[in-house]
Amino acid sequence: MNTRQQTKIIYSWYGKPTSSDRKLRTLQYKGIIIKSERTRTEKCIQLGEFVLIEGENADRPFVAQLLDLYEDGAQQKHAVVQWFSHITEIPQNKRKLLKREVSCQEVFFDQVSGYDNDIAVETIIESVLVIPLHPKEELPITLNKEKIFYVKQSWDGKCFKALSSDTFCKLKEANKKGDGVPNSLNSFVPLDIISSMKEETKKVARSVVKTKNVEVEIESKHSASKSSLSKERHSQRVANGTKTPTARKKLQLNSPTRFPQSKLLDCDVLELLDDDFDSIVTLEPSAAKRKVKFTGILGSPPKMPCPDDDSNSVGDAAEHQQRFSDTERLSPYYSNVQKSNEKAKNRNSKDDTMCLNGLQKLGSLSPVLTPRSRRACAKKTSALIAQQISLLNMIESNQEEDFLSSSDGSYSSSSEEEDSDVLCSPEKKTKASRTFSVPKSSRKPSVRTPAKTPKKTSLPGTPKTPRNATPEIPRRSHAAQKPASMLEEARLRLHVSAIPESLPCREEEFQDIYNFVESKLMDGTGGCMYISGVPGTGKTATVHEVIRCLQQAAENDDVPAFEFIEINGMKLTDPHQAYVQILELLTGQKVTATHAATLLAKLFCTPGPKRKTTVLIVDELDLLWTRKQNVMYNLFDWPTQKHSKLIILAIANTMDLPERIMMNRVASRLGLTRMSFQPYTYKQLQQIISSRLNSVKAFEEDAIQLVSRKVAALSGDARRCLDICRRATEICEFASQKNTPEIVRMAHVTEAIDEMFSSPYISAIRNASLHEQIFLKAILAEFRRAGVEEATVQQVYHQHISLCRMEGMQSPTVSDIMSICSRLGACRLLLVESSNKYLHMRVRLNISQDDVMYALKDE
Amino acid sequence: MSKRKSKESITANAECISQVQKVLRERFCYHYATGKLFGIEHQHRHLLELLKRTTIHGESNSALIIGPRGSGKTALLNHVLKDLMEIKQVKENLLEVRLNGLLQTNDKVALKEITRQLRLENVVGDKVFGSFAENLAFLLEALRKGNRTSSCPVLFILDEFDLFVHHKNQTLLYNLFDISQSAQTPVTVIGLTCRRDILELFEKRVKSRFSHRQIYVLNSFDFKQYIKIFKEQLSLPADFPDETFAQKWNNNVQHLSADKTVNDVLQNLFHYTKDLRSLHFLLMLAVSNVTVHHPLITASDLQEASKQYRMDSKANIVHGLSVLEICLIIAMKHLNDVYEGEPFNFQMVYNEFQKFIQRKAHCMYNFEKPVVMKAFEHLLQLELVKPIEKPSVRTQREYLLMKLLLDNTQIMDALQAYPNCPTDVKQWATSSLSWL
Repeated sequence: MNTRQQTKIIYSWYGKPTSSDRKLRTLQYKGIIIKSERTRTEKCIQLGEFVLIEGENADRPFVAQLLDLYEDGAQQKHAVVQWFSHITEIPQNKRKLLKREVSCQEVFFDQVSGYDNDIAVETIIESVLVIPLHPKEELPITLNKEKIFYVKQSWDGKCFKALSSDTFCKLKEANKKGDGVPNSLNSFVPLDIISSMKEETKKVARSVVKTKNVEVEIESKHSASKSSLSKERHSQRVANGTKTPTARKKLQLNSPTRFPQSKLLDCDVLELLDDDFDSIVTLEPSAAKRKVKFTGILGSPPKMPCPDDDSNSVGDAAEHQQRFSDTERLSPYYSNVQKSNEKAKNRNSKDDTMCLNGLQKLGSLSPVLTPRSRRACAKKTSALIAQQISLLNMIESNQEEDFLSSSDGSYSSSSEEEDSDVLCSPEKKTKASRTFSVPKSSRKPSVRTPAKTPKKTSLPGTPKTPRNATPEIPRRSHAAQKPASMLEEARLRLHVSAIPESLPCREEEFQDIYNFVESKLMDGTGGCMYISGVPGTGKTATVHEVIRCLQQAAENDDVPAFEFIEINGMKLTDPHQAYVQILELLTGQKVTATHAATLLAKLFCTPGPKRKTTVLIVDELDLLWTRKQNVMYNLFDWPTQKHSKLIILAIANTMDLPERIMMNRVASRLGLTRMSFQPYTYKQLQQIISSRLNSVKAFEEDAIQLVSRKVAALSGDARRCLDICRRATEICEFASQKNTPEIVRMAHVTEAIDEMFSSPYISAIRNASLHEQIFLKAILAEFRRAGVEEATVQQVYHQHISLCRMEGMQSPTVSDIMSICSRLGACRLLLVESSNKYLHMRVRLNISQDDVMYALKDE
Repeated sequence: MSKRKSKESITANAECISQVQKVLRERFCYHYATGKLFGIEHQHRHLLELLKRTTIHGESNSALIIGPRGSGKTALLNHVLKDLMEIKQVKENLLEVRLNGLLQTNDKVALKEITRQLRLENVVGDKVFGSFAENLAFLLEALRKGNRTSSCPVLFILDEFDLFVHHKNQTLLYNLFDISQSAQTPVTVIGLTCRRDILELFEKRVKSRFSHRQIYVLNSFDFKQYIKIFKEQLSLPADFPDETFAQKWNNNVQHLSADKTVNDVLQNLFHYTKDLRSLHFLLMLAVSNVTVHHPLITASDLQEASKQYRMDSKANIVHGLSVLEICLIIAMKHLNDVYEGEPFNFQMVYNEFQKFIQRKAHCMYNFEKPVVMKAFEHLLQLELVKPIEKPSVRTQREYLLMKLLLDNTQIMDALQAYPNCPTDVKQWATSSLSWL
C-alpha cells in the first residue's frame, strides 16, 4: 500500500454518467479508467467486473466485484462492491468447518453483514477474474495464479454454503462479460469503441504498441525474478551490473550462448521477434483485423496449457531478458518450460493485444510460418529492440527514485516465491504467486538496472529472519516444582500474576465497559472510553477480562468479530513509537514512526475496504503526552472518523487527566465516556483474597481482615494486599519450621505488615555508630541554637566537639566528621550539598527532628 | 636463641609470613567472596528462600536490599548465590543479569547489557541492534514468551539501584517489575541500595508493582561482637600449612583482643564507624607491617595503623607549608574571628599580614606583595582557601572573595606539630592581640 502511495495513479470516469440521482446528488457511471503515470498504462474497469482492492496488508489485496460506481456531491468517487473472502480472512476456528483443503486461489462469496461495501475508488488496484464453480468441481489447474480466482461457496460469517443458483448465474454472467474480450483486454480497447469510432481505435492501438513493449518487459522481468534459483541469478546480476542494459542485450543476442538449450532459444527469438513485428505492422492499419484475432483467442481455452504455447513462450521469454536465468539455470528443462508457460499465461490475462496476437499466430501457424528471409527480419528485429531499449531506459530512470520506497512486503513475497520455485512443485507455486499485483510488478524491473544492483545485493544479503525472529529465554532444564504444601499452594494463588477465575468486586465496572464495547461493535462504529483509577485497582485486569469475554462471544457469533491490540505507554521509549506498535500489531509491518502515522491515518480515515472493528487498549495514557499532543490527538481523532471502526479504551491513573494535561481539542475528542475505579474497600479486598484462596484454608479469617483493613486504610492497592499475604505465608513457614501444617495467623500478618510499612529511619539511626549519633545530636543542637533548620558542617562540628567533651570522649578530626556526614548523606538521613565546599557545605535533616530525638532517646 | 637457630627460623618464617599476608589480604580485599557474614543470618535466610523459590518453583519476586555503605549488602547477596549454586537444580536453571547504576547510566545501555548477558543477541544472528525502541520491544517480547513452568528463571541484580530510579519515566524498572507481577518468564529483581528513601523515589505505578520486600542490612552488633569479628578476621584458618606458626599467630590474636590499648583503638574505630570495611582497612595496614623480623602483630602496630588511618587530611597539608603561608593562614584565621566567617580577599589578608610584620619585623623578613600573592595562590591551589564565586575578568585577583576551608582547631593543631615555627608566629596565632 505504501508503494502504491508514491506512484501517481489517476482515476477517472469512463464515459458519461449513465444516471443521476438529484436528491442524493450522485452521478452513476459504468466504468472507471485507471491511469498510471509511471507505466503509462490505462485500464478501464466496468461494472460487474472483479477487482482487487488494496487492504491493510499490501501483500494481500481483497477481491471484490464492482456493483456500482458513483460520484457523490462532494466529487468523491465511490464504488459499491460485493466482497469475496480469501481463506486467510476467515477466522482460524471457522476454517475447519470447510473440512477440506482450500487452494489459495479459491475465494468465498462474502455475505457477512458487518462489512462496509461502499469504498473509495482509489483503493481499486486492478481487475481480476473470478470464476464460479460447482461445489463438486475440481479447481482447474491454471498457470496464471495471480489473476484468476475461483468461487465455490459463500460465507456468511457463521457457515459455508454452496452458491445459490441465482448468484452462480450472476457471477457466470459477469464473468462472461469479462471473458468476452479476454479479461481486461477490453479495458484498452472496449468493443463498442472499436466498432463506433475507428479513428480513436487507431490511436489507442498505437498507444498499445508502445505500452506493450514496456509491459512485456516488465512481465518477463518479474517472472524472471520469480522463477530461478535466486542466488545464482543474483550473483549473475551483480556480475553484469556494470554493463549498460543496451550492451548487455546486444551481447546476449549476438554472441552464441553457452548452452545448447539457449541456442535453440535464440533462433526462436528471431522467429518470434519477426512475428511480433509483423503483427504490429499488420495491426496498425485496421482494427477489424484484430477483431478477428480476438475471436481466435476466444476459441482457444485460455487456461489449458498446450505444447505449442510452451515453445512459444520459452522463446518469448528469451526475447525479453529472461536469458540470465535461462542460460544459467541448472534446473531441468521441463521446469523451465513450465515457468515460462506460466508467464505466457500471465500475459495472456493481461491486456496485451500485440503479444496475444503474436502468440496466437505463432501457436497455431508456426509450422507454416515465415516466408520471409531471415536476414531481413533480423534487421527489423534489431531496430525493434533498439526502440524497446530506449523506451525501457527512459522508464527505468523514472522508476529509479521509487525503488527505495518499495516495501518490505514485496521483498518478502519475492523471496517466498523464489524459495518455492526452486522446488518446482505446482502446489508451491500457487501459493507463491498469490501476492502478485500490477503496481508491484511494474516496479520490479527497476531491480535490473545497473544503478540499483548494489542495493538489491544488500537487501537479500541482510537475512529477513532477524526481523521476525522471536527470541526466547532458554527453557529450564528441570521442571518447576509443583507446590508441595498448602502454604505453597496459597502463595501461588496469591501471586499477582496468577489469573483468577473471576474478578470479584468489579462487576459493575466490568458490565459498563462490556456494554460500551459491545454496543460499538454491534453498530460498527468507533468510540473512546477513558478509565482512571489509582494503581492496583484492577483497571487493566478488568479491561482484559472484558476483551476475553467479548472474544468468546465473537467465537459464539454473539457479537461481530473484532481485532484486539494493546499498547502501553510505559513500554514505549517515545510517545511516537505508539504508531509503530499499533501498525505492527495490526498489519505486521515495521516502519518508522512518521510513516506509520500516515499509514494508520490512511487506514482509519479512508472509507475502507472491509475491515473488522479494532479494539485498542492504551494503557498508561499519560505517558503518550507530547508537547504538541499530536499522538493523543490522533488516537482520539480516529474513532470519530466515519469509517474508522476503532474503539479505544484509554487507561491512566488520574481522574482529571483530560482537564489537566490535554489541550481542549484533544479532551473534546476523548469525549465524556469516562469511568473511574475507586480504590478497594477493606471488604472488597477481603473478598478478593478469599476468592483467590478459594478452597485452600491457609489463612485465619481475622488475619485476612487485618491485612485488608490495613491496606484499605493506606492505599486500597490490591497488589499490596496480595504481597503482604504472600509474605505472611513465608513468615509462617519460617516460624513453623517443623512439618506440622500451620495456617497464617494474626501474628504472622502483623509481622509482614510491620516489615513492609515500618519506617526504616528509626532503626537506621539506632544502629548507627556512636559518633554518627552524636553528629545527629549536634545537628539538633545547632538547629536549636540558630533557629534555622539548616547548618554548615563547620557549625555542627563545633557542636559535636563540645558534645564529645561533655561525654568525655575523644573528639574526632574534621576528616572524620566529613566522612560521617557523607555516610549519613548517602543513607539520606541527611540532605547534604555537593561536597566540594568542605566545611561550608550545608546540612539538613531528611526526617523530622522528633523522629531523631525519639530514636536517640531510647538508648 | 643462637644465631644458627634464628637463621633457620628466618627462612622458615619467610614462607609463613608471605602465606599469612596472602591469606589475610585476600580476606580483607575480597571479603565478600571468602569472609563470613556477621549478624545478618536472618536476612541471609530470607534472601536464600526467596531465590530458591524463584529457581525451583518459578515464582517471580522483587526485593530491595537496603543498608548503609560497607554494611555487606553485596557480601550477603554473593553468599546467598554461592549457597544457591551448590544446589544442582538451581545451578542449571538460573540466568543471572547484573547491572550497575554507575555503569548502565540510561535505559538504552541497560537494555543492551541485559540482552548481552542473556545471550539473546546470538539468537538473532549477526543483526546489530537498532533503535532503543526496537531493543525494548525485542526484550519484552522475549520475556513475554516464557511462562512460569517452562522458562528458565532470570535473576536481575541491580547494584546502585537508586541510580536506575532517575532514568527517564523509570521505563526499565516499570517493565522489570511488571514482568515480575505478570504471568511471563519468572524473574526476580534484586536491588541493592544504600538510600533509605528509595521507596519514595518510585513513580506511583512502579511502586505499586514493586512487592515491597525490603531486606535491611544494618550493622546491628555491639562492641563485644565487634571484638569477636576482629578476632575471627585476623585468625589464621585451620588448614594453614604451618600449624605451629598458625597456633602462635592465633594465640597472639587472642592475646591482642584482650589487650587494653588494642581495645581502645578498636573502641575508637567502633565509635567512629561500624563499617566492617574500615576495620579491614585498619587490619590491612597492621598486617603489612608484619615482616620476618617482626612476625607477630603488636598492639603498637595497630595503634600506628589507627593513627595513620584516621589522620586529618587538611591538617597534613598544613604541615608542609612554608612559614609565609602559615602566616597567611593565621591572618585569615584572625579575619574569620573578627568578621565571623565572612569572606575575605587577598588585600585584607595582606593588610593583616603587614600589621603583624610591622610590629614584629625583627623576626620576619618583609616579603614584597607579589611574593605574598604567589604564596596565596599556592594556598588556593591546595584548596585551603576557595573563592566563593568563579573568578571573572572584571574583578582583580586581589579582590576576589575567598573562604578559608580550615577550622581554627585544625590550624592550631597543625601549628603545634609544625617544626621550627618562630615563636612570634605561634604567639600571633594564639591571639591576634598578643603583639600589642
